[in-house]
Amino acid sequence: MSLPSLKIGDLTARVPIMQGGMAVRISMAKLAAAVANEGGIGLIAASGIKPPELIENIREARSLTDGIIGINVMVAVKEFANLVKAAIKERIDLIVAGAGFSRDAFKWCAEGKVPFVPIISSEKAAKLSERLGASAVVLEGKEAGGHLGTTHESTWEILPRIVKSVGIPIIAAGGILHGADIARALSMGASGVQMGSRFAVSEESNADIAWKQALINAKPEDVTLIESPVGMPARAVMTEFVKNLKAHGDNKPKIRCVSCLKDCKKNYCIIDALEKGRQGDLKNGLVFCGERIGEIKEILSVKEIIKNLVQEYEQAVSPVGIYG
Amino acid sequence: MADDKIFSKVKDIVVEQLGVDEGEVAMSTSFVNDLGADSLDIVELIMAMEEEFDIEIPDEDAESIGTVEDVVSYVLKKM
Repeated sequence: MSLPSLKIGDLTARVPIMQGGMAVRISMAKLAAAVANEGGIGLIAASGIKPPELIENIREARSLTDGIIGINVMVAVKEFANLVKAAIKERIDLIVAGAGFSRDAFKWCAEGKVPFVPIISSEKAAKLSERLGASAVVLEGKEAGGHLGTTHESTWEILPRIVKSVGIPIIAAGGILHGADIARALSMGASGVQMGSRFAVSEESNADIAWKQALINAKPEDVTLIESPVGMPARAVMTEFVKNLKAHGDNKPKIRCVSCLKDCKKNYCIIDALEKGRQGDLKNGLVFCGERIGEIKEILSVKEIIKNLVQEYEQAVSPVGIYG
Repeated sequence: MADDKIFSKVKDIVVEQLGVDEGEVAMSTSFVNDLGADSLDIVELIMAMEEEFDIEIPDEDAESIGTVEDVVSYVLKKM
């Protein structure tokens, strides 16, 4: 059996795989377009950049693909409204938003006729999202990377409850790495999956080779939880930056604060740390990752990644497969 | 509408939405610190206020609302 398509509003993705939005500047035009070209949904990470850079990336992605391109943005960033409005004006295909809950965004997206897809980790948030007009929800369990809505409930524990709570499509995220995981999510009632880590370690991901190598080298014990200035826990690789953070409780950089968050805890600068990490400065940088990063051993092209996932899925659902 | 009338309506909504005792809700009561509301509770509370007082509270304004008093003065300003 081949993979079913994923429908969100009027959009149909041939492959039900959405690439997780990874900020700052990890998932940009090239990665998003590569995923869209393979039939999935590509997301440009908008958090930590300004609208002109986002617009430039949306246009570049459009020039590279006719597939589905969306943006991912944190409600917690001050530029949230401007980024969402800029993307709507560029006629983006969908907007995925996490790290906070914005009612206004539902309204803007409805007016702009753009599907709005909140990232949630509870039934309460799923139901409220559906009531406010969400086109789908991304359910993120504790296995996810970056900022986390939950640190104690697995994707597999929450998913059945969300399936019971809402009628809109559910995209399962957090700990999805192989085709068998996709088969499992779909068999439980999800309409698709979102994957971050696997695409982070791709040829098209917009990070320095040292950043990708840090993820490939990361063993399960090198992955840890930290407190983000956003006011949420986050999962990251144990870089020197993180060691210092854990030892001192803060890591003040020598930079000018541009107050990019609506409400910043100021224990360190999240945007600066993520950007330094992306540039390969692991001493001063932060590298976000999912719980299962230890299972990713090589940098692959998006084409290979999706080809492998499709094959693994088919194996998993075949009569001899485990989820058949 | 007078302040005390608005307060009494706000109190009713808070009691219903958060499932707390009437006695726990005073002007200075903080939804998060005193009543244990999470960010989604606040969203639902704000939506109930909009319906009750027939006003619109955008995110930006909602983000600065933390106490019962904040709601009462916001409603007074908008009505």
